[in-house]
Amino acid sequence: MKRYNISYFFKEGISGVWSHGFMSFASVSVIITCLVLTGSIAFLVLSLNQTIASMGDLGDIRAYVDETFSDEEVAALETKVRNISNVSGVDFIDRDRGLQELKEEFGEEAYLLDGLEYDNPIRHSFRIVVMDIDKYDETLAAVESLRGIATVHSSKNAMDALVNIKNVLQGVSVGFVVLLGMVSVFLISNTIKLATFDRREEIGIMKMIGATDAFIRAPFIIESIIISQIAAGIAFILQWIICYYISGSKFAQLPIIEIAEFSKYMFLYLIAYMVTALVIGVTGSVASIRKFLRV
Amino acid sequence: MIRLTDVYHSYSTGTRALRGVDLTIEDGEFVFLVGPSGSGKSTIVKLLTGELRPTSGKVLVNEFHTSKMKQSEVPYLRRTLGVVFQDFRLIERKTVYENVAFAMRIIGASPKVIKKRVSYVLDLVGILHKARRKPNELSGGEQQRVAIARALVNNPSVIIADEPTGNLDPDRSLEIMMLLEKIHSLGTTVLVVTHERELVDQFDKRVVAIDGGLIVSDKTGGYYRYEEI
Repeated sequence: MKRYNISYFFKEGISGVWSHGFMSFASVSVIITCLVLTGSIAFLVLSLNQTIASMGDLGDIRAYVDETFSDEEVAALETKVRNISNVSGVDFIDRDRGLQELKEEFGEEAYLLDGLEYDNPIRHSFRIVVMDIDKYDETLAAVESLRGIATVHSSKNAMDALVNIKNVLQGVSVGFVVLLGMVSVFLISNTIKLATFDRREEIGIMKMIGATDAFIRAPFIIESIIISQIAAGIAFILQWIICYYISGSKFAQLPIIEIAEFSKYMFLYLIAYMVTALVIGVTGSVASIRKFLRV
Repeated sequence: MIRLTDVYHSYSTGTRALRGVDLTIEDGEFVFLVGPSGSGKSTIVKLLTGELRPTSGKVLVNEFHTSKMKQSEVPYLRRTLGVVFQDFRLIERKTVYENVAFAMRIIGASPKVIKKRVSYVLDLVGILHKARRKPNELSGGEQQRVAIARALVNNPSVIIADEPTGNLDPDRSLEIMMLLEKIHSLGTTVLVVTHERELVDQFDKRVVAIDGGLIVSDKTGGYYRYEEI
């Protein structure tokens, strides 16, 4: 590929985008739809991940120790808890600290607990941090099975619900990428097919005077790259606006969800959009012009 | 140089277009290939340009064995040829200048070289003054001159003109033939495929006659030789 030809390819590619106005517009629109829908779902997944991460306490297991256990036995029990696989940390909370934390939770109503320090009913406990949330059930069962653990508190149901929502959204997100990606490839391939059909005689002439397939194909590929990158740019701006709007909405104020900051991921979004659109565009164009090159 | 040795070609429909053709055209020759419709003339052109492969036999064009060459080599074979068609085959959306320059662009020539060479060949074929026109603004004879300029621009060793005067009136046809003769006088091998006997008769050149896929006459001296078949 000679350097003198590059400007020719770009000139031809740009003119192709304009001369196939409607099909170019349709291709750009479908790619934008594909990217923004997928990107929005991905943004929700990111927000859920952040929500799950910020609910660290919710993911912890609180195990209370049998009050008949001596200090030595409690220490031995702590070692056993630490040795459970998937436990990343254990915080021992003695009875006094347990009461103190309870008072803090009560806040202004802490006076209701006054006097309990003389006859503290709270048991020693362990706050157990789980490493992999997907192995939560096994870890919980292992803690419960230890002799000396009187009772266990966990937020398993809430965690399960969040993890399930996250998994479903991830699946839907992948489904959108595949489905809309296929539609986009089909549309962009039709745009280029229309372009090559328009110019089939011209392609025949080019081949007859010695043009290589690569030389003929290049302007069409440039055309699809231009279409895909225009779509990626517009999709990115739209995504930015959508995420900005969501972050400022009342939904974002709800305590149950923590919206991810788009600015943290915007570079990643831009690259992902450009690459995805490029793959869609080039796949569509290469597939469609092969037929017209057989001269 | 062109050499066909015992060439047979059958189309997928079963039509036997060539049945053992032997033909050699030396560098610098001017040859008419004549014959009625369906005689096999176009099949020979297609074999020479790499559009078809022979069913059997050997086809040698400018060091390229087209019978066994790879598909990826075909463009490089075509760059050693200048092909002129009856229907001109110009790109309608490009100007005269761009049509001719395009043939140089595909070989990666620099803009400076393209400008100099295109102006030269357009002048040679007498169409430089219409360089900025589009093909549909030109007469048939002028369009054929542009096609010849495009065929010439990369300085090919062989020009193949397939019925170059088929769409032209007798005066324009004669002009085109004289132009091809002028190009031949500059050292280029010229093969003109035609069925216009009167035109062939006006030139004292080698005439190869083909009929039914066989070479039936190969003599120098014009139309009367062709009439014998």
